[in-house]
Amino acid sequence: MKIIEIENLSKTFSTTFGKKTVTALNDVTLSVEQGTIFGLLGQNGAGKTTLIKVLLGIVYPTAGTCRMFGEDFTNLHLKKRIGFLPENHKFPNYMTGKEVLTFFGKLSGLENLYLAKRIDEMLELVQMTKWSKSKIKTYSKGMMQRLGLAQAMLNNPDLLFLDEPTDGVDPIGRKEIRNVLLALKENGKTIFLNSHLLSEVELITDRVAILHKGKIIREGNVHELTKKKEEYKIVVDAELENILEGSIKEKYALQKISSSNYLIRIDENKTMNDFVDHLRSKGVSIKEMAQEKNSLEDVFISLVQAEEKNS
Amino acid sequence: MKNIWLMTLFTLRESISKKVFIAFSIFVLLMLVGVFFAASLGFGDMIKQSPIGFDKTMILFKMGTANFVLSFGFLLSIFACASFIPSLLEKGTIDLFLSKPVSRAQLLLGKYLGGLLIFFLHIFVLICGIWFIAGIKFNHWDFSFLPLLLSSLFYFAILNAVLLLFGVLTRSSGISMMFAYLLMFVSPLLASREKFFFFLQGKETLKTIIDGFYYVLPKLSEIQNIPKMLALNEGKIEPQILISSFLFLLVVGYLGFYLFEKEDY
Repeated sequence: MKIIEIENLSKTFSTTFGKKTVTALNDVTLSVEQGTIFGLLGQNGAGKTTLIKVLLGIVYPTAGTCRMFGEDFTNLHLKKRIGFLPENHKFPNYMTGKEVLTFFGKLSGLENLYLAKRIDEMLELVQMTKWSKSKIKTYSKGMMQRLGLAQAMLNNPDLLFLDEPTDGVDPIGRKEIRNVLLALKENGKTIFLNSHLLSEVELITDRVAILHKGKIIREGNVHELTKKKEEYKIVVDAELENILEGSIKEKYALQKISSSNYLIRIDENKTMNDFVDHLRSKGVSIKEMAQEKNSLEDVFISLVQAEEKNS
Repeated sequence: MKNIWLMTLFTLRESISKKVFIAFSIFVLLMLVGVFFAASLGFGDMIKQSPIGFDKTMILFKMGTANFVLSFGFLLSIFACASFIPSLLEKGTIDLFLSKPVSRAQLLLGKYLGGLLIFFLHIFVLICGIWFIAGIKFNHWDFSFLPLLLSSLFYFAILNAVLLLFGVLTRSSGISMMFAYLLMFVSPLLASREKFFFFLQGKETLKTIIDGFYYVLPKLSEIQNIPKMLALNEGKIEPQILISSFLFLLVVGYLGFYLFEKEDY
């Protein structure tokens, strides 16, 4: 089931008196399946935050349609099923963490008894229980992010929008947040993640879309986007350059990476078997064989650079 | 309704945390202490011997004292409430509020009513305090003084609507305050415009413009004078004073809500 369906969405901002216009989103079409983690990637100013804000009714679209849970996105009651962690969010700094959660929980329409139980659970989950009675003004950036995440998950949302959720969080905290998100996904929740920390996105997302100057330039499965189709890394117990004939080395474009580690290029699946048979006939033992992958960062940079060149 | 009340209480909490509430409370307390001492300075005999009669003198005394104190109260209230809307619209804050299942109108109305509630709580203590002090000091328990509560609330509701509109429009508490103070300053000048029309002889267009401003803008000084007129049975209250002021409140308030509803954040 599609939780988010966006069709031909555009947003143009006008400066004062409409003298200058900025296109933040340009004909964006994408959809997000239930129970997945969707990553929206892009440089600063690419339009990532604007897209989330449009979906949440914080910014109005200039053109296009959006549906969430099969309904028009402007239906206010849909927000009861949505959680949102904005980038650089600001909680009232005179409140304690618990007071913030109580206030925003009530604003989300949660009943007092359920809310009290839920607050304790969320504080525990983001490991903020011992700071819950401290004023927000004493919190570090990482603590603010944790509390923000607790706030976003308070109403047990089916759809969670996270805008740079690990911003300012230390590496251990980041891992914990990733684990929380994966657990939510396991429970069938859908997560829409905005981030420019590509290595992190790569670790948890199922699908990603790359936004550049308001346009989606690539969308797809993370595995598909990052795999190098023809290159394989192979670890053996022998020096292949001495064992294999010149014609074989040429056919598979054999490349030595380090001792016993090689890179080969295979054009079609059937030739992989030929290569393995050939090695075994020579008495070579294969310890490891894996398809080479691009990092999401490599893909992102090459796509953005190509787009810059084209434009 | 629940969401509006939540926002109202949130605004109250904001004012307490920003020490605005406590400053306002101290002001009210000091004013009441001042009134108590003033009432203890032997005015009793003077009032009893007043040629216009005890009741009338008492009403004038209470009205005069209250209006004097209220003029500072309004200045302080504008200062206290000017930041409520801009603080809601701050980047990073408004996103959190707008992502909740609460309409924009409810958010803004809650903030507006929060300002009114803070004002009302203090003015209630102030006016009832003056009424009580006058009661125990001069044994004058006349209720005709209390409509001043309503007129003051109406007066501040108008100023708060101005704060709301300019808060939404500019997201600046400073600019909002300037416009509210300007209205407070201009209103009595426009009310007494005929006194200085003498200096504008031959300048009919200018007079018409000034008249136009008078009819369009709220009649704050006249509103504040209504309880006195009622208490002393002096003259007839012109309905246009209330109607035009109420229309101004509605138009300014509506404009604020409309702009908030349409704005991207």
